[in-house]
Amino acid sequence: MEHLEHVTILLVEDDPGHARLIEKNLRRAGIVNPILLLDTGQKAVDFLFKKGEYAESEQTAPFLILLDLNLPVLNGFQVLQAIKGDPRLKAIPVVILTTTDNPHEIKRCYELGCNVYVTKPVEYEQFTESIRKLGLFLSIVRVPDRQ
Amino acid sequence: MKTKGKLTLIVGIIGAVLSLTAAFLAWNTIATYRLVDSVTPALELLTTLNEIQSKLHRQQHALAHFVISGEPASRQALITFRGEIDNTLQRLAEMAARLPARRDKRQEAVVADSNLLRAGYRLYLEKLESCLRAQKAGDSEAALRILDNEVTPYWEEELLVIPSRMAREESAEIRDIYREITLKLGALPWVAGSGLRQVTQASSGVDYEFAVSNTELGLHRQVNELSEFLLHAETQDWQEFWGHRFEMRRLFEDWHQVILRQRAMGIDGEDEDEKRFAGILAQYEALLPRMEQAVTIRVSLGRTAGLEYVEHHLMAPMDDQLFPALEGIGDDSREEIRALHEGLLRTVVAGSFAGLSAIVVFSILVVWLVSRMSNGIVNSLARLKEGTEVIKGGNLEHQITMPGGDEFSELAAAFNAMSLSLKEHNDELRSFVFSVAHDLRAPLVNLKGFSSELRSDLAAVMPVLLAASNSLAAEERGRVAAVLQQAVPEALGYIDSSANKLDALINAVLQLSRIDFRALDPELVDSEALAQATLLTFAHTLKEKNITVSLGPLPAVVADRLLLEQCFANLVDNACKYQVPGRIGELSLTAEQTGDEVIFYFMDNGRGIAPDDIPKVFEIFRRVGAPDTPGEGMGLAFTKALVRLQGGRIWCESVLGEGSTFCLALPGGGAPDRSA
Repeated sequence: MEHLEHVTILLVEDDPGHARLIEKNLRRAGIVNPILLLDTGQKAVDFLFKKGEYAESEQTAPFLILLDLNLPVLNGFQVLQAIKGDPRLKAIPVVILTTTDNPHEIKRCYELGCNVYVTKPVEYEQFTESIRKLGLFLSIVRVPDRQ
Repeated sequence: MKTKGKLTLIVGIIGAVLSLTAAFLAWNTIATYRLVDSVTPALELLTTLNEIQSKLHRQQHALAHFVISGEPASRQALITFRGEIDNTLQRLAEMAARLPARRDKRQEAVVADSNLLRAGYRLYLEKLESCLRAQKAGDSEAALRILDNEVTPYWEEELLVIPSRMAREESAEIRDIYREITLKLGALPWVAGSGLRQVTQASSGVDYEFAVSNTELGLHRQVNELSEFLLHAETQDWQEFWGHRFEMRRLFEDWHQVILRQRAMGIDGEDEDEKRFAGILAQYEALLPRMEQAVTIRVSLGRTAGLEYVEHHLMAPMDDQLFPALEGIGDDSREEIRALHEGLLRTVVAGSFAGLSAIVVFSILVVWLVSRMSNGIVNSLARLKEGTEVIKGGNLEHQITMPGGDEFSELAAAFNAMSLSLKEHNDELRSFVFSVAHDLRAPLVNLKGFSSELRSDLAAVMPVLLAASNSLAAEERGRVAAVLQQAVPEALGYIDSSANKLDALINAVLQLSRIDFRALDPELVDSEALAQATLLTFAHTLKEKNITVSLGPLPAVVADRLLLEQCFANLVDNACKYQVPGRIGELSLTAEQTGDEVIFYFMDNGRGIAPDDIPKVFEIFRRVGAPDTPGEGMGLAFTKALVRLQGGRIWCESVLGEGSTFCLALPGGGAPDRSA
C-alpha cells in the first residue's frame, strides 16, 4: 500500500479549461501529486495498456484515475469498462468526474465498477467546493501498489 | 353521413329492390292465374256455341222432314229442339254475362252477339211458324215454298253465321290467352319448365276439342246439304253435297293431325284417342254408301221416299251412335283440358310460392350478410379510431390489434409501423436535444470558472497593482485604476450574467426534454380544489398587482395531479405577468364539458396578443409584445408540452389591448359520469 504522495493522478478530460480548473482546485486543496492529463478516452486506454504512443513508457508509480464521461474516440464508459474488465488494472481506483447528473448514468457507472462518482457543478462556487472536498478526500485515500 | 348510416341505406335499397321484384313476380303470378282461369269459361262458351249450331242444324233438318212428311213425330222433334235451343240460348246469355272482363271489351261483344243470336232465332221461329201454319192448312207446296224462299235462306245466311262467327272469335280468343300465358310464364322462371309443358298440352287439348266439334258440325252440314238435294233434286245442291265429302275428309284429317301432334309431344292416352277416332271414321265411312243410296232413292222413287230413307237409315244411326260417340269424345276432351288447367294452376301457385319464398330467404340472407359486413367495417373503423386516439394521446408505442387479415388489419399494421417510426424519430430528436443541451454546459463551466478565477486573481493582485501604480503619472494611474476597478469588473459582470442567462436557457431545454421521460400517474383530480391551492401560492403576487380572481365551479377530471398543477401555475403566472398598467387586473377561471373533452378557460384583461403573434406564444424562448417583463419565454412552451403529454390541447384566443383567454382541453368526459 502506498501513500498518496507516490501516486500519479491520471486526469482523463477532453476540455482543457475543465482540466485546468480541476487541477487548480485540487492544488488549492493541498494535492501535490503529479497530474497527468489525457484528453481522449483512447489515450487513457493506450496509456494504461501500454499501447500506441505509450508502448515504450515507463510506469512505476501507482495511479488514481479521474475520468470524465463525455470523451472523444472512446467515451468514459468504454474506458471504465476496459479498466474494470482487466485483471491487472481493475484495482486502480477510478473517480468519475463529470457534468452529468443523470441517475441512469450514475447507476451504470457503479455497475461497471467505478469507485466514486462526483458531479461537476456548473456554478463555479459549487464547483470549487466539490473539487476541494474531492481533494481532501483523495488526500486520505490509499491506493494499491502496482503489480 | 357516417359509414354506418350509408351502409344501412344500402341495405334498405337492396331490401326495397328485392321487395319490388317479389311484388312484380307476385303480380305476374296472379295475372297468370287469372288468365288460366279465364280459359275455362271461354271453352264452355265455345262448347255451348257448337251445341247451338248443332241443334240449329237438327232443327232445320227436322223442319224439312216435317214439311215433306207431315209426320207428328218430326213435329214433336221440332218442339223439343225449340225448347232445347231456348234453354241453350238462355245459358249462353248467362254465360256471357258471367264472363270475366277481358281485353278489347270482349265480354260486351259476346253479350251483344248472344242478344243478336236470340233476336235472330226469334225471327227464324216466326218464319218457321208461318211455314208450319201453311203445312197445317194442308198446303204442302206453300209450306215448301216458304221453307225454300224464307226459312232456309235466312237460316243459312243470317242465323247460322252468328254462332259460327262467335265460335271463330272465341277460339281465336282462347289461342290468344294461351299465347299470353306462355309469355307470362316466361317471367316466372321457376314455373316455366313444367308450366310451359302443361300450357302446350292444354292448348293442344283445345285443338283436339276444336277438331272434334268441327267434325260434328261438318256432319250436320253434310246431312243438311243432302236434305237440300232431296227436296229439289237440283244439280247444284248435289254438287254441294258431293263436294262436302272432301270437306269432311279434310276435317277428319285435321283431327288426326292433332292426335299425331299430341303423340309426338308424348302425351299419354293417344292410343285410346286414335282408336276412338278410327271408330268414328269407320262409322262415318259406313254411312257414306247410305247417303249415295238416298240420292238414288230420291232420283228413282221421289222426294218423300228419299227423306224417309235418310230419316231411318241415316239420321237414326247417327243419333244413336255417331253423335253420342262424338259428344262423349268432346266431353272427355274438355274434362282432360279442365284437369290440365287445374294442374297448371297448381304448378303456378306452388311455383310462385316457392319462388317468393326463395326471394324472401335470399333477401334476408343478403340483408344479413350486408349488415354483418357493415358491422364488421364499422367495428374495424371504431377500433382504428380508438387506437389512433391513444396514439394521438402520446402513447406512440400503442399497437392497434386488428385480426382478420383484411384491408383493415393492413391499415392497422401501417398505423402501427407509422407510430413506431414516429416514436423512433421522436426518441432520436429527444436524445439529440438532451445531449446538445448537456454538451452546452461544459463550456459554460469554463466561462463561469475562469471569470471567477479572473475576479479572484484580480482581487488578489489589486492592492499590489494599485500601490505600484502610485509611481506612475497621475493620468496613467487614473487609466490603470479605471481598467482594474471599472472596465475589467464590468466585463466580468457581463460574462457572468451572459453565462447565467445561457445556463438558465439550457436548464429550461433540459427540463423540457425531460418531461417526456416522466411516467404519467393519472388519477381523479378535483380541479377546483387544485386551482384554489394554486391561487393560494400566488396570493402575494395577486395582491401586489391588484388582480381580482373569480373561480367558477370546476369539474373533477382524470389527470396527472402534478402536471395539472404545473399547468395551472404557469397559466396563472402568465396572466399575472402581462397586466395593463393602471387597469385593475381580472382573472377568471371557468370550465366547460364539451363532447369528450373538459376545457378550462383562463381569461384575463391584460394587454392581449396581436393575431400574428398568437401561435408564437407557445414556442420555446419566444416572447411577444413589449420586452418589459422578466422571464425566459419558457412557461407556455413548458405548459404546452405538459398538456400534450396528457393527451390534451392548449390554444389561445386574444384581442390586443383587451385581454387573452388561454384554453386548456383535457381528454375524457365528465369524470363523475365516466368513473361511475
